[in-house]
Amino acid sequence: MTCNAHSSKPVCSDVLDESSVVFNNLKSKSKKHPMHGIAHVSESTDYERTPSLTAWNTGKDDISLISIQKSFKEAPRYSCYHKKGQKKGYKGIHSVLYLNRSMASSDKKPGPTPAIGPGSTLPGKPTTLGSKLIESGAMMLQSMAPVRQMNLHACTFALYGHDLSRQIETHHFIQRINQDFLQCAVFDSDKPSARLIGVEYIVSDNIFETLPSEEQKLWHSHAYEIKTGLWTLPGMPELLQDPEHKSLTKTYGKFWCTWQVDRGDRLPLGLPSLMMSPQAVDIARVNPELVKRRDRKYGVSRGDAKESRVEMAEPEWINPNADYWKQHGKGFAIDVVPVEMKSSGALI
Amino acid sequence: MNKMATSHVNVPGEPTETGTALLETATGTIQGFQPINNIHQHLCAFHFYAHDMTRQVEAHHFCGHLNEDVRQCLIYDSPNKDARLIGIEYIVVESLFLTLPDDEKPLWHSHEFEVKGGYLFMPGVPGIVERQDLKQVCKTYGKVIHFWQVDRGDPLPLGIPQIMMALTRPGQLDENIAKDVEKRFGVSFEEQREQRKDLSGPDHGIHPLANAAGRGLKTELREVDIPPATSMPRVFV
Repeated sequence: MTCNAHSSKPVCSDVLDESSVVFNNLKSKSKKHPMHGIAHVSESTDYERTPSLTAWNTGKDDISLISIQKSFKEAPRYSCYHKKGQKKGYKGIHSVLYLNRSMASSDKKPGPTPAIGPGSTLPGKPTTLGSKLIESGAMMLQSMAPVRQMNLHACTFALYGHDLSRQIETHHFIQRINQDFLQCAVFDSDKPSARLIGVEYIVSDNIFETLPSEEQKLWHSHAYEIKTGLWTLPGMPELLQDPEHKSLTKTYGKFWCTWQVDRGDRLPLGLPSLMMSPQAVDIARVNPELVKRRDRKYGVSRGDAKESRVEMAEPEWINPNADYWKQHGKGFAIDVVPVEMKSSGALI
Repeated sequence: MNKMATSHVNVPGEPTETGTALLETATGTIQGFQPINNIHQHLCAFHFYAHDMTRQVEAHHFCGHLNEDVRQCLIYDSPNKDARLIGIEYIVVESLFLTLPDDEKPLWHSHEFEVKGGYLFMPGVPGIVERQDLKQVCKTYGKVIHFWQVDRGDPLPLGIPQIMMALTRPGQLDENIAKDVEKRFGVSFEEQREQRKDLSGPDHGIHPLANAAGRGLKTELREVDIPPATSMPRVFV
């Protein structure tokens, strides 16, 4: 990218990607000191409507670096924010906007950031009394009807669709809409501190057969995990679980995971991941340690559950479009790409 | 007060059988639901698709605090018993938003405009209590993902997840949708705007990378190779 050195636009040296340039030692009429930094070319932003190459003086007097950005030691660029006098806020675009596939897709680990850490402990302050009071007030005045409909808690295991060796224990809080459809809020535990990690929808084989094959690829079958005792309803005697399992064995699920806690993400990062179910194939069997730990916690035995479910009818046929990886050896990832926003003409 | 949602297509399937219903009544009383019991608040707001501002959805958030700085919400298409679970929102305070990688920030949106504009509200809660919380919400950032495109009449959650955005300027919200919500919930956005004049947004101003940095964003599906089974021995259970 080249720019006219005689106008107020800077001279540019390296092109980092299609939308940003590095410039050094450029001189401009309006600024006293030579400028260094990174400029981003954008068509429109939330703040600056003029499409132009904006240059930032990184001399000490009018640029302040947000200190948090300094901790990204390996980042190839920094962001700088120009505070104009007393006026609050950011002026224009200042840091490089990367929306390239390797970072936005759910199959890659994000770069170094304080939002990832050992133990994936949640950042932030404990809930204040003030907030709790507001919540109690809301509780008394509001009807939480939709969430009160969830009346089934299932604990099972799921595998990341793009890497079956990454396996997690999941807690599904389930609402049955009708005999053929259930919707589930999925958490990483059953405690009050549980993190909401995704949503799963469950459909009967009848409904599944009506879906187009492109859609069916995103779903997984449940027969194996139920028959082998991986799926359990904590707190319910095995015999009482029977009727539910009989109908669920023939179902298919679609599970999007929005928070990769097993990767150490302290906050939900990236795009959702498509999850798959355990299957009777080596690569998709659940690590026995995970199962043991879960069984100990709930005082259940997967082996016993499996035995008592041995008589349970298996589906005669599982649609080969489900569990896509089995036939094709491939998983899926979600990417996000910048596009022209479709609007009615309102300002974006 | 009439709280009927606007008409929607019924979810396909047979009515729930008695046996299943009875069992689920039992599980509902016997099992523990702590994560769900942590959900204490109902917020109504509007989302639009990050690639298409003309497609707007009335979003009912049922939220709980993970701590003072992080909230998580289940999003439904109505506040009624037959509501469909259509998405998830995470809400974080400004200081945590700033710790997100720059690649992540565009997926999040600011709440200042919709709070100050009166468009985000807590149905059934008196303004004075509502504003206590909105004072905080005004300074937060949210990440919304929808899985069920009910606005285009999908009878089932088809397709891939959609990143959603929130209102950031006047003129974006469809007037008919606005009037319909105002009528059904007995609220007036303009009145709310008046009463929320003293609320303020993030202390450092709205971050330029938030709200998809002013661009459209579209999700796409890609096939990937799966890593082969590791040499770790697997016990056949």
